[in-house]
Amino acid sequence: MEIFKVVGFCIIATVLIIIIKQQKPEMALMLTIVAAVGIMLFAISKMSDIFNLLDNLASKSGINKDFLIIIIKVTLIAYIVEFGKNICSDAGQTAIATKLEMAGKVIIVTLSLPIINSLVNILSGLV
Amino acid sequence: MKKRISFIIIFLTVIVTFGLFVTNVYAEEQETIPDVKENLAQDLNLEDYISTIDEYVKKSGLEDVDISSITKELMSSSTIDYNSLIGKVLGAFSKEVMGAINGSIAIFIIVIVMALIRSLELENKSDVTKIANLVCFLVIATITIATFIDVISMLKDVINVLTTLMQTISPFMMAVLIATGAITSTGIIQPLLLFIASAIGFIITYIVIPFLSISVAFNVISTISENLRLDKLSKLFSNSSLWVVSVVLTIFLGILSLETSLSTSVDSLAVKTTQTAVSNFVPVVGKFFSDSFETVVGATQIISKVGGGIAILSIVLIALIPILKILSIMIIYMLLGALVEPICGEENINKYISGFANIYKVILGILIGVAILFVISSGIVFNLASSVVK
Repeated sequence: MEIFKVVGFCIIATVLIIIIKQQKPEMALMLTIVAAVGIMLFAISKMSDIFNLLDNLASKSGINKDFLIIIIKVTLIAYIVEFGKNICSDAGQTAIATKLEMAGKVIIVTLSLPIINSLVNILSGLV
Repeated sequence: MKKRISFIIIFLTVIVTFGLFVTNVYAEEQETIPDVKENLAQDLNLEDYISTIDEYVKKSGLEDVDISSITKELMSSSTIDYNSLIGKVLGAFSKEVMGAINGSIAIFIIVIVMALIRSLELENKSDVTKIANLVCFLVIATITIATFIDVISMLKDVINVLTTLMQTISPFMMAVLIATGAITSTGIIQPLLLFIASAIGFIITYIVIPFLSISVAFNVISTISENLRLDKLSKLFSNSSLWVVSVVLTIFLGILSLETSLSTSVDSLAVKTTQTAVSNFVPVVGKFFSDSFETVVGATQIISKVGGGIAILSIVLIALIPILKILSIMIIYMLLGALVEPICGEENINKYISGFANIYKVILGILIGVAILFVISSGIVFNLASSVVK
């Protein structure tokens, strides 16, 4: 019954933030970020099950695992970058949010370089 | 006219030698028709021919099929044990299907990852998820294109083997045809057959395979880019390569059947004339010569039927493994396309995979077309052997 824990945590955090916001708005923002990071970490710890399943499937089918690892990394990076971007824009810092997005894109492209490389290699075999 | 006379003279000598050979044998040992058959099989190098074909079939992946034992069955009882043959072919088919499923599981897992990315999207259509999706697609493209290159090189190999097989079959065919008296037909058919075999190889390497590669390239481009839609163009290229092959097939078969039906009547007229001339004008032994000629021709016809049957069987068997492989890949891609649609809403991926299924359909059509062309042309030629002397 983890969902009750999560929902309870969220409601308590929301109530606390509303109360604190009237006295100290900057502290409320801190609390928001902490609560958001907590929920995100919880969600990601659950996500590892999904990726374990995919890993299992891949090892059973006997396919090349390098690509799968890259894809899983890319997926996780996409989540984390989006999450950070949302927190930044929630705090009103859209400038940092866009930079973070750009950094995320660059990291994803760098990670996928082996894939692009192998695609080009295969294509050159076609000619 | 002069040509015709000299031709008849040559033919007379051939018949007289054949006749002498057979009469000698008759006089000494009273040999029966099966012995004539075996002697002729030796003269026509049937064994070499069968062992060459056997090698080609073994190389193509069907190791358990033994062509020489099938030949023996055909020579003695003129039936083929279809049950064991079908069993072996089904075994090969299930192996190919398993291979195709293994390759497609990777694509399926990536599609699931894409569905995950999509369903857990925090913000609608954000750039980061777009790039993550693109990376996933690149992996799918790598896997599918690797399979495509495999299939293309297999197609090239098979066409190569079939062409060389035709070049192996045609000398034997010509020997058999000349032995039955179809001399005019042989003169026309031999260059035509060799031309067909080399022309098919040329068309496949220089027209069909580039067209298919262009089609695949357009398919990939139209999936990566949202603004550039080249689906129709991709389809046009793959379908036009099929049209090229079917037009060539129709023209060749038309010419071949026309030429054979025309030249057969000329040949049978020449043979009939010579036969009548020999039996009427040569006193006492003439009748005997022309009768024994018929025995020899009958035995040659049996050998030609066996050789033709083996040739057609081997063409089918050599083309069969690639056909089954492409068929299983096509079926798996169609299934994958059907599964991708509900799992992940990406219409692009769905279109990409069904586009590939279409390309494999075209390759399958081309391969089956070429195999049918070779089967029908060798069938026509081996049938000629029985149409000259009835």
